[in-house]
Amino acid sequence: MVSDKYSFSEEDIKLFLDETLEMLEVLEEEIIKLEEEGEDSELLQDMFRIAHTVKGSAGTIGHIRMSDLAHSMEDVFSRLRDGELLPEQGLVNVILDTLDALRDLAIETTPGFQGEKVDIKPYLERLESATSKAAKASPTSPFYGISVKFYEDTAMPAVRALQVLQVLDELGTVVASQPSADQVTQGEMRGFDFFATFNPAPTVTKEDIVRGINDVPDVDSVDCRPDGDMEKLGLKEDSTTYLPDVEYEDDSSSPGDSRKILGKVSDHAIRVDIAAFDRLVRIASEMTIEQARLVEMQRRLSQTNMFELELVQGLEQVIAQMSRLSTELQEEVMKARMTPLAHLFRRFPRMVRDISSKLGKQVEFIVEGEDTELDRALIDEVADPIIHLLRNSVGHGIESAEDRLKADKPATGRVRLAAGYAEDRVIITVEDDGRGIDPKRVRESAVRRGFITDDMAASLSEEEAIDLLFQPGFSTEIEADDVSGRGVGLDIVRSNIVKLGGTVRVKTSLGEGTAFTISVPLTLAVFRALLVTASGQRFAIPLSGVVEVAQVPVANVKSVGTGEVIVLRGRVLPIFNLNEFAQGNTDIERNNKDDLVMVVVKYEDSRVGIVVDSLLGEQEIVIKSLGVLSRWVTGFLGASVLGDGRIALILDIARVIEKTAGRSRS
Amino acid sequence: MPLALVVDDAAFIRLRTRKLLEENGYEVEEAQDGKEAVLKFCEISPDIVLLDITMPVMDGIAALKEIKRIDPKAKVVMCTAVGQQSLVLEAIKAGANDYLLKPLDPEKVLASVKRLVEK
Repeated sequence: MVSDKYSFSEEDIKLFLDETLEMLEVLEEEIIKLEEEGEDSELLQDMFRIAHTVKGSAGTIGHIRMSDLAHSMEDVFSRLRDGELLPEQGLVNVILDTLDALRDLAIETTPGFQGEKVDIKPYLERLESATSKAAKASPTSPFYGISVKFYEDTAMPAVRALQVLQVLDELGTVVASQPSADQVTQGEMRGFDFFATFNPAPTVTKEDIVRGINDVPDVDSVDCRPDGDMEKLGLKEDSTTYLPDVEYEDDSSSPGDSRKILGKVSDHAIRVDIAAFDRLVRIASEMTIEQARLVEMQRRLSQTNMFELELVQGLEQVIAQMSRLSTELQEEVMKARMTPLAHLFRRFPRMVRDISSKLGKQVEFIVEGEDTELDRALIDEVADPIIHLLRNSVGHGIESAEDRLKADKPATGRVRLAAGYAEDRVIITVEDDGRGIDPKRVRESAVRRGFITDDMAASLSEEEAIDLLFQPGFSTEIEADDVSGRGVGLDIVRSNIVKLGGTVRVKTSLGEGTAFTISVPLTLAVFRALLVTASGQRFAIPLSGVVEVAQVPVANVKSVGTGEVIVLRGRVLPIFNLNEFAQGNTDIERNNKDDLVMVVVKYEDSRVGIVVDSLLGEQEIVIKSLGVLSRWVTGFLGASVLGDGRIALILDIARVIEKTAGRSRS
Repeated sequence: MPLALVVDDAAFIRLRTRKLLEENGYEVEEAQDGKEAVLKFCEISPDIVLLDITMPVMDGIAALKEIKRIDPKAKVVMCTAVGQQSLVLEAIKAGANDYLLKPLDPEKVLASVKRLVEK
């Protein structure tokens, strides 16, 4: 075997690795999509392009074996694209294995790599033999150049073009079109002409194509010539060479747009190290803090210095302008940190496919809402919980085909991973149509493991029983298997998500399926909070959890059992006294007031009234970790430095409610 | 005689379309919102549906999706106003077979309906 030399710096190699592994992941997702959805020329063109880039990068870095194998794969993609090969399962399996090999090959470039080097020969041979099997019966289908003219009084030509595209999709594959399919769907069509390069299905004739298009209303004329001249239409394959040190990611420069991962190539985007981004966020955030201090100083100055009125007013203007700019900066940086979940989700089709084939289950995997954007830092944090839930769904949720048929269900199970927004949160759902969770079994298992007694089990509602699943160390699956993984349980899923200020809920219906719903905030670093005081200290309450602020007569406080509750508009709320929390001052009445100031907060379905001394107002705050302190201080998410340099502790609403509600229940 | 279901929240549009179609050899049933359209569709299995987009209770797009779910081969023509192109595109993607622009041109209505019914 040739010994490889990579004449590049460690940093170059790191970039090469990052980029290549990402591209291989995209390819993996796309090949599975291709297998599921059949031929798709746009997808294949993209796959071809990515394989081409992988080959180029490997070549540039001097990794000959890798570039050779990538070359063979590129070849397969180009033949798939040109309709010479069909994406049948055998071929897809070989391609997936080749992708794994390419991944291993890429990892060989890691400085100090000691492992076994990949022999590419068997992969080349397997690709070769799989392609000869997947070759289409008929030789290369001819390409047609199709030109369609609509009547000039057509009210919505884009709609007609879409219908033409639908006709063509039924008859074969549209390799490219002008306007493109995307533009047509967006309604972007100028004029009344439509062109397409078209690769018809084997039995489709020119007459079929013309007849099909003529059937669309408002078509004036159709011209269909063999050998579509792609170059003339400006649609020739992109022959740009790609450098391995820069990743072109996006052709839209506005960060709000939903972006296509590794989509069209352009030079408007560059890759930035996440750590650099974190620094940017921190700096932008701290600017807003300094800014608030400046406002404070200006206010004090205007009160004490009456002689320099002009100067003070000038300062006021500058501050206003700076405040606008720093807010804008902060917003832009936060926006740029938002990453579509597609980055994460594209790993999963392969995972689900592997697990289900290992278990011999038939599973249809549906991914929705991958355009949903989430703070980059959060994406990494939700990955493990989602993986765990998906494994659970495929491993435990979905029954074997046989059991499903017996239960009058389709043999193929469905697992759905969906994401979307709900106000300022992102909701991620992992749902299956499997056997559901049996609360009875959960109760039994909990008793057997000594989590609860028989009596307790009997008194639990179904929901409470299901909630036992989230107890540390709990699992109803008796036998170990390497799919569901025993290391991480649902308890870790929940605690990981709760750490992010999120929630996990489960809904299950015996025999019909289970849905886990994760809800997390869009971002971690900055949020709006209500500032309050208690015992002379300042506290911040995340606004997302605040329901209302109320003044309540002290007389409305009632003692029940171990705690105090208050009656607010007919609703009984447990009370959490922030003074008590801050200083151990437990007696509410002793505060010598007629009315209590109370902030009502909620978490999941529980509400608690937090009694405070006074309200200071709403503010955007930047969260800072409590570091070592967090070991001694519970009930806080962190701290924030306020405009005057003072510190406010940020209340962890979930914890506060847990403490309070738990106390009043027990 | 082919059976057409005319869906529109405006009674006079339903009336005019009904007259036009009846004069040209169609039997006509009416519905005045998307929900009623879906129910009627299940009840009478029409050969063609003329479906307004902007309607109360359930709009035309939702009704279209529901109808296509019930019968993927259902033939549906969306009736729309200028400026609703994006909705029409959405409808075509969801399986609508054609669109007609309001105010409805009798010739175009007949051509579209005829084309789809005979298909």
